[in-house]
Amino acid sequence: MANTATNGRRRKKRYKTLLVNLFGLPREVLLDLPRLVMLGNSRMVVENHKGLLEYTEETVRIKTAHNGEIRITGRGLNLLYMVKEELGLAGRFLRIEWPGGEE
Amino acid sequence: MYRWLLDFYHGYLVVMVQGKRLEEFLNRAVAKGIYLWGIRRPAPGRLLFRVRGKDFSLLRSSFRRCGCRGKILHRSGLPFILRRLLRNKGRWLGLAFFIAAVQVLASFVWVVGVAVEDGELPGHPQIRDELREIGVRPGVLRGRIEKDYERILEELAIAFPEAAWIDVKLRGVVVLVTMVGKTPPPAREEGPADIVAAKEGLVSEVIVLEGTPLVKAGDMVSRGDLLILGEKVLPRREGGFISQPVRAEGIVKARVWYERKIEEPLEIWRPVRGNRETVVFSLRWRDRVFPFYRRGRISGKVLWERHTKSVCRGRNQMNLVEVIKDIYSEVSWMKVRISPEEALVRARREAASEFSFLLPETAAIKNRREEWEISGDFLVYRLVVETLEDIAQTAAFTREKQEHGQSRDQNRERTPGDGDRQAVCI
Repeated sequence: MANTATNGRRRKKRYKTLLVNLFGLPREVLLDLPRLVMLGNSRMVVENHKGLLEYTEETVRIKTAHNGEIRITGRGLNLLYMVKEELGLAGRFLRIEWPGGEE
Repeated sequence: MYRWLLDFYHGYLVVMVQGKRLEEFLNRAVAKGIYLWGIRRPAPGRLLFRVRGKDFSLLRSSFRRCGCRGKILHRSGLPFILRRLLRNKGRWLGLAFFIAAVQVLASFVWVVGVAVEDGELPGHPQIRDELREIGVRPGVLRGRIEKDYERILEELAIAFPEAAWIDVKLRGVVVLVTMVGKTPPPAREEGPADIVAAKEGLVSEVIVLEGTPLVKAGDMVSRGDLLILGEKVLPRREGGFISQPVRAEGIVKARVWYERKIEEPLEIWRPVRGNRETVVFSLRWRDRVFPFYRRGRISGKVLWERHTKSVCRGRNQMNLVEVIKDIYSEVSWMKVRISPEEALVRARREAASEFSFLLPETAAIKNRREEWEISGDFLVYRLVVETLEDIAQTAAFTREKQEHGQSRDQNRERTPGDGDRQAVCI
């Protein structure tokens, strides 16, 4: 049963990818991907997030769609603002990781 | 800036949350559509953030669900300031009383100023006494002055006939009375007088208003020559003529020649800009200049250049605020030989400057002739200007001189055309 659901999701994603490639539609909208805009290594805006998993001055873990995660490590990390679809982050970023991989 | 203004307008709270599931709390708050900003972790298990005042009540359920405790540390913004102000009734009463007091006090005249300009007018105490009698005194209502404005002016004009102009201005609680005295016209000189030539010239027109003309158009006159004699020839009832001393008046227009010779050197000392310079930046606001930056420092003679840039032109395009850049450059002098053309331009400029002082304002230039030549290290320039001007000048009456020198006969009769110009008194 679970296998069928997984197969259905994969098929849906394949169709969406095909649509994106065919018509040049924005991937982050159709595929529900996070969009990161960085200003040097001191400012970052993360769009399309699904919430915070961890927030300290050294590590910020952000939840993304399909149980994904972005891990940002640095010094003096600070959340500038947070709304449903977007969050702003400041500090000195040292590393950005996708532990579970993306797409 | 815009964001800050908006937050200030709506009012915001600085909230501290304590608990273990702080990330979950943030996610729940955001899921409700609440905008959070300035989110910081001052210590483990503590979270500081800012939230709009009206959104705080929506956070209560999130606090409960996540097992956190929230505390408002600070309230900021316009709604909270207004609330604080409205809470204190005594302050508002005081403010209302203060405004009312200012309004009441401002409706009276408290100062009467007097300004007297020119002319012979009575002293300030006398004017103040008169103003008091008219009703312009400290303590009177402003409205009364405004109402009786015309009457005050009329009564002042009657009280001070020696004033040519009177003005009463009401500025706030001050009444300023300005008076300008009459300036009498210059006293007309009386007594018989002649008209003589002020300059050498060729007479072209003679208009006699009073007296006997002694020159006609075409005559060449020198300075001091008698032009109009201060006597009038009248016929006598019993026959013959008598002369009566008068104050000669008239216009004698003549062609006058002015000549100027200028020697302009062909070798001159000219300033040359050096490498060293001082730059001063200043800010000008209206008539005041505030220097705010200086680079370099030199002394002695300098060349000065000024560049200006308008920052704020003001409502009437008056360049209210300007940034001024002054460059003072070091100067060294160098001897250079200039071209004859340049020397001619300089000579012309000097001649024009001299003639601007030499020629009377009423003189009409009829002709001008210039010539120049180079003589050694100089350009010799000569300019001749021919003008048409009035050369009549009033001079002391010559009768006494003539009486002493030529005749002592006080009642001698004379006939016109006998060529004798001796005065005869009746």
